[in-house]
Amino acid sequence: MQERPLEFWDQAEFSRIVREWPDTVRRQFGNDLRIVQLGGHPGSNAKPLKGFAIPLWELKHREGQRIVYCTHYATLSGKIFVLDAFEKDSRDGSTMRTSDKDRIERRAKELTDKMDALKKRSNAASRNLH
Amino acid sequence: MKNAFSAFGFEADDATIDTLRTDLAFALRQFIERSQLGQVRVGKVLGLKQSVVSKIVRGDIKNLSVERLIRAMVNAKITGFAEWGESPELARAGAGFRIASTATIVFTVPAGTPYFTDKLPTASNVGDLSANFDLPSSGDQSGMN
Repeated sequence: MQERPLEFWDQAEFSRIVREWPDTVRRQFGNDLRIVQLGGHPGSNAKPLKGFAIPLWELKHREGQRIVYCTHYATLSGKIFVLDAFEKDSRDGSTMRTSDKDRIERRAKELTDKMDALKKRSNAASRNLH
Repeated sequence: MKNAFSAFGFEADDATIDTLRTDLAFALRQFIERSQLGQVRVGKVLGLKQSVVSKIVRGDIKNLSVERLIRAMVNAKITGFAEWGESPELARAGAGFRIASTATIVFTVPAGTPYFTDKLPTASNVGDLSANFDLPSSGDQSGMN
């Protein structure tokens, strides 16, 4: 089985954020992302997000009654791009801060632009070969 | 390629074990879903309670060890593999057979000269190697340590 590579928007920032999270939560997210790598679906922890430039998924885990941890990823061109990770304020984890939403939106747009540019470059290169 | 568990801050040994556990549980999940037996019946085949089968299907494997998952696969006569390397990125496990990722390096040399292969010749396999490659016979291993 071909594993899908994992790419992180900003590995250093991502590591800094998740370092503070409880072991159980980090392990569960690792498990979910590994399942996505293997081509599976992480189950009820994963929900599609609407209203973004690309199909985005939100992985969500709760610790206790209050804190909800989230990781957002997109699957494009056979790769998994992890765009963000943060804690949510709301009790049920359904509401996202405007600043968080704006940041994900901006990254999703930049990722789409990068992928388009790569595609164009690859098409141009293959045209030059012929 | 980055490992999902390393990315979440786990050390290489933990990340490797967690990767193997997730991979084995994923292989079992595929077996359970394809069997269409129902969780109680497939649980009997695997030697697991229905509640554990349900957890595997939902991806909730935090209380399952690699050993327990392998036992379940053996109970169900599922062939499997597990391998790891210097970094967690090289860890993988699953059902079936894993095709070797590294190429076997064999130099064809005249009989009697030293040769190198990643499969060290022993009394039992040197005949097999000689059958496929131009290698010295088992009685002529003067250049080999």
